[in-house]
Amino acid sequence: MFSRRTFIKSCCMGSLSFLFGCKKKQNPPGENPYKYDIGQFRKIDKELILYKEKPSIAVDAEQIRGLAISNDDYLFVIADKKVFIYDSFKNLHHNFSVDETATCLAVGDSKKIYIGVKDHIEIFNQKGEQIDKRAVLSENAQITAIAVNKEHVAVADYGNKQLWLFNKEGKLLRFMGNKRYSEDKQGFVLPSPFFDVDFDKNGDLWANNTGRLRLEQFSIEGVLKSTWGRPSMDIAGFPGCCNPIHFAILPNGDFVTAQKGIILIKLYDHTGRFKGIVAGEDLFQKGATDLKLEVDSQGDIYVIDSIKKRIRVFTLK
Amino acid sequence: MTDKEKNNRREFFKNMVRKILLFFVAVFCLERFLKSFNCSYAWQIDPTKCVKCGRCASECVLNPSAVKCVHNFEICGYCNLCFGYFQPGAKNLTEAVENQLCPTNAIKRTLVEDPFFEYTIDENLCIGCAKCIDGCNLFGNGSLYLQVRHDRCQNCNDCSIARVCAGDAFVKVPVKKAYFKNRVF
Repeated sequence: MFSRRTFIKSCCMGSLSFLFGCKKKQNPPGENPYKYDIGQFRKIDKELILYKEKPSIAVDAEQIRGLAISNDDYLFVIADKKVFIYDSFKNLHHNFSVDETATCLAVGDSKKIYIGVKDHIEIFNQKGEQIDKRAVLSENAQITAIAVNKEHVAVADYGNKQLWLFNKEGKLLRFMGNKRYSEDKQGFVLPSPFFDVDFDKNGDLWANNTGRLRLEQFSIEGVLKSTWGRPSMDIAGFPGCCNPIHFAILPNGDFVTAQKGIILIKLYDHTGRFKGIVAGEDLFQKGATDLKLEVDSQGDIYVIDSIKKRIRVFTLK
Repeated sequence: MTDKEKNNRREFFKNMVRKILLFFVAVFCLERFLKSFNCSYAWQIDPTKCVKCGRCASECVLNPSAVKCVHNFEICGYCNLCFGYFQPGAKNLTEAVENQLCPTNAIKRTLVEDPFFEYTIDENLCIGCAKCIDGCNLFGNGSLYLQVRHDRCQNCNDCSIARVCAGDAFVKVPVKKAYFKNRVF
């Protein structure tokens, strides 16, 4: 016969061995032999960084979708269903609500605010009163950027993969860059919904052809005038399937570009020659992809940081 | 031994055989019933949790692994410079082996029309190492992802990959809910 002590001992031993037997076997966290290693491409020479960061601007919203800067350096931010207006010292001037979720915005003369809402444009004054609501571009339209100069309004439409050019009254002048209608059958190649547009000081249109990893210049007549940019993992080129995702043109004609994958804000001269870095990956958190950017009259660069919900500001060192 | 006892033993064996047969018939019927409702379970990878640790390639009881790279064509950009296909820093965008990222040459690249290329996975060659998936997620739309292929998977009760999965991405789900897709862009 078993004694009570032997019985309890056996029970304990049995329970312990059962528990240890059930415990998951974990392999030691060894080196992954199939690791995708791009460490060497992430390293940047500190001497190439030409800009320093200024205090950033907090935006009281969940999702910042677009920003624009007027001629007198007022900053306009669209986030959630609100437009925030900051004065030239970047203090919040006021804000107003809009009915629909916007994707982008631009500011024209007398601070007219052009807001892109999926497939059409709505125009507001500074007080938040709607001045105009333009017709739907097309069934498939997906507006990702708007640019305004003295005479024209240009719209980047990711859905149709083309640019639309209107006069200020809203009359369609032409569309450009659509592969189906372009003579050379080149057109925009946009693997992901990042499509930006801007006017240079000569009135020509620039757009990012992300699939071809370059920027393209169009005349107002819709003629492709020039391109620059090349696919490369080196610092001067654009890596990935689709870059640069956003860009802006500085008052001196230089370009600022934002790229995803290896996050970099870079500076190029007006011919597309690499000049330096504005901000590297270390300044942004993982997942900060929609790096829309704008520049003011002083050459300061404003970048949306969707993770921190702030507008990051960079100025020349 | 009396007649009464003999009868009892006979009756006992008869009953036992009957009950055993009845039990097997019941199990068979229950199995058919559950199968008709597709109530069996299967291992799946949740692509949102997968951390691309490479253990799917090395831990599966099968060689090569039952986990394969799957392509969600709906969200693929059909890029010329595909970072799931090309080595980072590849000098030429050609199909030459030295430019390819896949260690087993399991991705096929086909020109659709300039500049679009279609990428298809040869599952006989794929080992589920997730190297291409890392590249596609980092630079592209993330259309490549890992999934358990049930034409190969033995559906082990205690899956050896699930035990060591670094992201706890292995889950057992009803068969009718199987084949999770990755996120829609």
